Amino acid sequence: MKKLLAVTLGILTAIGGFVDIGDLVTNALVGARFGMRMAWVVVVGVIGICLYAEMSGRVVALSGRPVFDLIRERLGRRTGLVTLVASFLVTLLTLIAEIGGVALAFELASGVNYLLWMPLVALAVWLVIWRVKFSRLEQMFGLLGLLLIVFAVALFKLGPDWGQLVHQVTNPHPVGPESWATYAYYAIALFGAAMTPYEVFFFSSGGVEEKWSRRDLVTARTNVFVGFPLGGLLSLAIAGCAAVLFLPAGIQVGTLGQVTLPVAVAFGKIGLAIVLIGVFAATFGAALETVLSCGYTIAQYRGWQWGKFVRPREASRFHVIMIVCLAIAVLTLLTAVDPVKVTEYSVVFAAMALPLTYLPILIVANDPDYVGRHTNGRVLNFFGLIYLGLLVVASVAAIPLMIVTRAGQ
Amino acid sequence: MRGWAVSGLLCVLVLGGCGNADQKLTDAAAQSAREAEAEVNTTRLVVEQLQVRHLWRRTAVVMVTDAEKSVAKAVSSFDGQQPSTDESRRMYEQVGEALDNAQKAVTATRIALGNDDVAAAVRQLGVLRRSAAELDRIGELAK
Repeated sequence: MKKLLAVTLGILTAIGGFVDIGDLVTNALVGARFGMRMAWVVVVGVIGICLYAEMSGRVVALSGRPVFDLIRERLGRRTGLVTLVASFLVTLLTLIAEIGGVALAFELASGVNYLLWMPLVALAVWLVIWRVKFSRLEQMFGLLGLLLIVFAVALFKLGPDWGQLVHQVTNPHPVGPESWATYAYYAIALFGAAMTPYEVFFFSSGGVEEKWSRRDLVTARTNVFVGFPLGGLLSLAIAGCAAVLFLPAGIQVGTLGQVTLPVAVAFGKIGLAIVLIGVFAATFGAALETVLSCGYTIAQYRGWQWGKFVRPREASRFHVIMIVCLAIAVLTLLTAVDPVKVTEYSVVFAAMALPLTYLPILIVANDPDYVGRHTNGRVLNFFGLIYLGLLVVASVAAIPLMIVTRAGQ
Repeated sequence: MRGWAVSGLLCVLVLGGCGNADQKLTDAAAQSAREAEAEVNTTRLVVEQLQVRHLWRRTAVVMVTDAEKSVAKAVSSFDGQQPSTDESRRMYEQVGEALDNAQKAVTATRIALGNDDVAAAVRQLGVLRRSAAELDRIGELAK
């Protein structure tokens, strides 16, 4: 019974924790411009993140060491450094977007400018990381993030023409003024949002924080194969709401307020309150995950003591990295850069860094020195390689498409 | 022979350039109109939801302020265009006027909401609808 409860809690946390500011903004934006014509990208992205998260979870459960530590050991310092730089910069950009997202949620609830909330949000993130136990913070914000299910309920309440939505899903091409170039650009952005590198690093480092062993393999796999796809459904619901309300009205999504508007239309102030708490939990939870991931990647690469399972004094450099990252995030946002634009760029840059993040994981998951007889099977390697090909294509095409479409305009 | 060929090519380039300049203006007009229309419709939707008490006023103010900023961006983006022919100058003025009207309507709504005057904001709904329809027509130009 206790085991079942743990698995259920893990799944719920995975669902709630799947959606972050990148998913919120990109899904709503894409839904408003293309309807459900990009639903297939979410499906492809979710399968990809499941494949690679399972690999990194298995590596952690069997070796007891986080993926980044093994990447440096297995591939050497130089290759590890390339992966470190790419992943770290993308994660830092994502952290900036998440902090901005939390501040925007507060602005929507209070009417007070988001710039005033920014330092307080960063301070709150630091305090939570400093004081709250790892398992508690993961569960607390993951479960609160479940409130975003209100998007799925709102989709039903908005009374869509389901036939029209199915027609959009089965006709994946640009419509109206949209070109194939913008379609491809946003497909890459959506793919990047679903497969953000920090998710894998956080997942694997979190496994070490929670002292996973061979016995936790089933729990880890259940979280991945049930929790992430259900999180993907949440992403589709966000896109669906935008497709129903905004596409016919010609409204393009460029602010967090617009993302939440369909829920307010469906359920009024109560719905708005629920969605704002959900957005707060999703972005605050992701801010915690990204700032921890910044600390994890550098500390693990350098071989420093890291993690919340030791006292802060024993992992001082790990905590200093996180404080510096939070300071960079606040200073960047105080330049009045638009957090939603940062989010849009962060998911595209994430797509560019994907092969550098996922190739090492594929290599480590095939090394019997780390996973014993639990190396990838042929089928898993086949799909892993196919995804690697997709990641390379997305990575190579991201910048040219960004230039050609003027960042999706 | 070679001179004729070069002259012909120059004519094609000059004419093509003129055509491109007009087309560029049309594209820019359609792009700015679509962006402004999106924000005008957002403002309209926000006021409609406020009218049926589905939104808090402070949240509505934030949403309309964001819309106002985005309309201003669309207006300034189109203002930077350079019309080169009489026809394109006429179009520039017409589109500029439509964008200005949109900006004024959104700003008037934001001011009304800021003053807690929901009735005045609701009175703007008609203006917002007309403005969105006009921008929609311009947005269709590029198709």
